[in-house]
Amino acid sequence: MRISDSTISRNYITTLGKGTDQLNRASLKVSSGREYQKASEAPSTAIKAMKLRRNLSRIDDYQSNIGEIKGILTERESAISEINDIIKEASVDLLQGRNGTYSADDRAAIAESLRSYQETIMRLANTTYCDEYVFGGSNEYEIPFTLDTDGNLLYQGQNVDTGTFPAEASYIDIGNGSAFNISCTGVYLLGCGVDSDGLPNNIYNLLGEIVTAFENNDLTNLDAFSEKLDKTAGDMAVKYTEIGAQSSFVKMIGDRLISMQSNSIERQTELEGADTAKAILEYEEQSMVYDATLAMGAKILTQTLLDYLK
Amino acid sequence: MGATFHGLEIVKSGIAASQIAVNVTSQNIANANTKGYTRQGVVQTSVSAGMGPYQYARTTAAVGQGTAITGIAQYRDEYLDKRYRNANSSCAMYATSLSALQGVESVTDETTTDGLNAVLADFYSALQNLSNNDEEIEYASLLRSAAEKVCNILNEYASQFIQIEEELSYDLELTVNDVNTLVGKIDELNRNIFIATVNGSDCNELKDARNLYLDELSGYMDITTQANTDGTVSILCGSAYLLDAENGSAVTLSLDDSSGSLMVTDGGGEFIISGGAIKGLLQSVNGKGVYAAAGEDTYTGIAYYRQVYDDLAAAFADAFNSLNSANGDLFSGSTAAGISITDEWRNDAAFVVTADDNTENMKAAMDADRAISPFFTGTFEEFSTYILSGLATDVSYLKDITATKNAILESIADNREAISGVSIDEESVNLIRYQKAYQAAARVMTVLDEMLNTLINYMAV
Repeated sequence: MRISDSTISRNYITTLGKGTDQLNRASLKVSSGREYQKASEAPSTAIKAMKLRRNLSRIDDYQSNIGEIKGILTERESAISEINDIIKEASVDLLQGRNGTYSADDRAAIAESLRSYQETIMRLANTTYCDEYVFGGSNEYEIPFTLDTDGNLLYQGQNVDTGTFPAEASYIDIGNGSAFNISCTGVYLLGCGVDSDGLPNNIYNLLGEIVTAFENNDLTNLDAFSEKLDKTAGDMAVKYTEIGAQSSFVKMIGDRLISMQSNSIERQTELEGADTAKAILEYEEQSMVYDATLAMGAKILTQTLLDYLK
Repeated sequence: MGATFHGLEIVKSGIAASQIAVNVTSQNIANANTKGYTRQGVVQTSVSAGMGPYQYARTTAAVGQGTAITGIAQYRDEYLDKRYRNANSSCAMYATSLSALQGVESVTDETTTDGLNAVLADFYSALQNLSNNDEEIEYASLLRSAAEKVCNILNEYASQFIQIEEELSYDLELTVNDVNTLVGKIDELNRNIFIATVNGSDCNELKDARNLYLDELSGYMDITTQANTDGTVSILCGSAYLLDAENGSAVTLSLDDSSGSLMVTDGGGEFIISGGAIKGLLQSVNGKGVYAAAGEDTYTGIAYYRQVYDDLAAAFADAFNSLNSANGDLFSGSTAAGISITDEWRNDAAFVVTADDNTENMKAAMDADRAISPFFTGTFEEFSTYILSGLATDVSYLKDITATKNAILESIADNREAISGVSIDEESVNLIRYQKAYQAAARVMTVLDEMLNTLINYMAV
């Protein structure tokens, strides 16, 4: 084929342009650490990466939900644990009060301390986490336990002894289509209604009756009270273990999310990230090609037969 | 016996021919870098002994009468011109389409920047937070600002698309004007070439200029040329004449957008162009992709991308408005350009209904498959990814095909230049060749001179 001067220079410019483009790409790869800069450079990889990003953003959401659940559960756990301790203290006080050697004044003093236990239990039952009442059921923004003017304990405005309380639910998304019921119907924790002996199931009201008994120095019902208090303590311990089980479930889900997240990030790096060593090598190769092209251009473009004619 | 001074006449024609040949060589060297220049060469023939009355009764061998330059020819292959122009128009079509789609890509691509997908994910997170903290006004206002971001991004996309469309239309206008100018220039050259041909001139430079304009024109549209016997060239696009040189009629093109989509007219009706930059620009503006009705452009162009984001905006507004019916619409507008949050919501973050787990329903709406466009059923985020994946695939395809078309064009250009291009080496060789011929002829002159000297001064003295 006959090669003219403009063929040489045109082809040279094309080659040089390609070389510069490849050098630019290689250097972008090194400096950005990314395998591609636009989705169109690697469509199928880019689409996979986009889906991964979506998953990752969901996982982030779920993780923040798990954090919130953990916070609420921890708050609840410590409140229940304290209530548990108080019930134990109350049992001891009750035992002491049954002691025949105690005077009416001694019993009045015990009644006083039992009354403070009542108040503490009420305060614990109204515990908040980030302005939300942890025992408020699904209505976590309103104080759950209040007293009416006669001193009756109310849960969400209903008398705990006489009201009917359906189970409440409020769900938090924890991924994979499952949701966690974060609400704890507070009245189930402290108890509601009255048993067959006419004793309140509610711990606050039970303590109230004991207080009244001690204040009146009335020892007739103390055995029944003691039995009821033990039973309530047992129920409370069960609640405590339930919370423990919930916590460990949430922790398991949290761990699963962390491993999902790290898998996704690893996969994302695989898809989007440039292999640094390879990228640098590629850059070196391209810059060598570029140098060679320039050197060659300096040679072929200046030389003609005229240079050799004398 | 020949005439005494016959030899001088022969050598004179040789000297003259060498001189012309050297001049042609200098013309070639001088134009080695001139765009569109076609290498020239002398057409040299030897002159025969002549047709005298005694040609059949000669007793001695007849010597020729020297040499003659009968013309200055161009080295050019019209078939390659044809192939070059075909390749050029298809290459330009793909390159123009590519650059338009790259414009769209630079607006929507989220590989290194955050776009619609990112703000949709933010919106979802905001819903998630609000659903966990139903009654807290901070979370409701976070959701509102996330929704505003979604609207802003869609507005931004829409306005960028309009800008791209305006740029493309402006390019089209310039291109159509260029075409008209080029056709005018070619028409003028045709006339000059016709006159020059009648006068017996080769007019190589005029032909070069015409070929250059034809090459340029082929980048704008798909043309075929028709060489007429009078030296003029007619231009056709498809089966319609752009320039009918024999009948002296040229078409003046203009743009028309009265039918809703842009088209090129010749004053009477649509002038169909199916290649070159004009086709690339037209399809980039008009292409409705899968939305195209019968007779509309099915290329996936700006019209398509405007439509998909309009569909997304409409479906998004509709989904959340219907979930907020207890209080009223959250979004107004049903196009990407027009969507915004309503004044009611802007004035009161708590305008969004949170009662009865409504935020859960809204979250579910983000994850629910719905018919967002007549051609897509899925979630909003899936739709956004679907649009981007289509775009990435199209750009990647256009890049590849443009590169291929370019390689073809380059190889045809190589072939064309193999014939028409100037090689300085070759011209240097020619220069020496003609110089030697000139020297030799001059030497012959000296010999003849000496012979005449002998004849006149030394014979029979």
